[in-house]
Amino acid sequence: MSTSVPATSDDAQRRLARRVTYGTVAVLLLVALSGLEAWPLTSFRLFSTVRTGSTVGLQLMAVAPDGSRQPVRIPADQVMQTTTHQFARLAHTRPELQREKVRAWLAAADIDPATVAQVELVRTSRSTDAAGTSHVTASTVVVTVTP
Amino acid sequence: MKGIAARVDAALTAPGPWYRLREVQTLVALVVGWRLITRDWTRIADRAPALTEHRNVMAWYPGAPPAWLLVALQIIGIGAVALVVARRRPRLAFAVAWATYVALCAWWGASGKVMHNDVLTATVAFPLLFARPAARGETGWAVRWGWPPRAALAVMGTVYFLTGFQKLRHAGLDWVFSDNMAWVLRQGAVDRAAGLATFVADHAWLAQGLAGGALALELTAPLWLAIRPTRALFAVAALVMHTSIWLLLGIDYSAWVLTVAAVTVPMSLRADRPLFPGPRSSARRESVPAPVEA
Repeated sequence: MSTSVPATSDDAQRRLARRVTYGTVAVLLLVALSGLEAWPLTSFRLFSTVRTGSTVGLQLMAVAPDGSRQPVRIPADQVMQTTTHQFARLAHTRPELQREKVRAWLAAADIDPATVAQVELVRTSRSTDAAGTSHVTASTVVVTVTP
Repeated sequence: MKGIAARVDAALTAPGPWYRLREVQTLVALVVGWRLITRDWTRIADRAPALTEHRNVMAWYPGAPPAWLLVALQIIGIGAVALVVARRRPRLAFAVAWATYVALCAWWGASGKVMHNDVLTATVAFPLLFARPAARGETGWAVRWGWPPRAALAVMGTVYFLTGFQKLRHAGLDWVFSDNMAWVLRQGAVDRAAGLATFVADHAWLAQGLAGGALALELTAPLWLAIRPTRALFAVAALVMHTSIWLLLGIDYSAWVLTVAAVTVPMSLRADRPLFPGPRSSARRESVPAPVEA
């Protein structure tokens, strides 16, 4: 069986096609230009910066009451590992939320907060040579949180 | 310029065969279904509420979702994909599959970093939500079956173009003509490809060639996708680019590869040639104007 579609229906479909297609493309362009990030709306900045041999990283260090230190290793899966991107905003977070977040990271790393006196957020600058070997050039404590 | 715009508009709104929309919608739904099946979405519930940052479409939901809700959405989404494939209420089923997929992906990425792994699939599927596929027994050609797959191509081309545009905008040509790619490889290579990454990084012409090729592909994507004979080539080029990223850096863009294939493979066929055997006998155009499809 075959159907022929009335012209009025075709006209309506053409209007819908334009609204949906041009509208979606326009929204994608506007979001990209504005830098908005509200998934699934994104500015599509994938690898859009220039890398050099110098990098800066942030790492949580758990400090025991006896002064010994151990890195807080967040599980490598995507859901948890990507929470480390919140490190950059930790220093500017209100104290009670800082504490909540740090306790959650300790729990994710299987470290009992009761065994930790302080957690330090350490900023480490590294320089990588052409052989791929990384050298620490500077290390500073950005913020200290008592869990 | 006006002539080009008119030709683009005519190509977008030209009639299309009933089976092409069905093929593209089904294949995109299968990509969604594959993503829904292959992830343990309950990991979202393991992330503490304090570490959940909502800057996405699910920002209205308070706190972190419980595991039972995540599993329920996963099952509903997979069931909806099955209905699309079985052609049972495909329009509604596609919308349900898309909505559950978007909700789960938004929660998955609610951790402070923008994740792009699923954004192409979600975005390309969006225009298909407005499509009215052929009901059982309906065949022939119509505007309503022609534009949705072409809209998906237009959106896909825009997304790829923007990924390249943002590199130029924020890094300029240094993104290609500097040590940028060499450092990306030295700092981000996964263990399995450390030797290959070092080899590429140590040969500037090779590293810059990779960067230039990737940027050129992204910026010219709308052209590749506008012309029927180059759509399949674009799918192959995208496969090579995303596979090399996975091989060297371990970043999974498989959903991008599959989405590109889901749309471009059917759309690279001649309009009177169905992807799947069966509907060919009714593929003949009847009582509608000639297609303008490129």
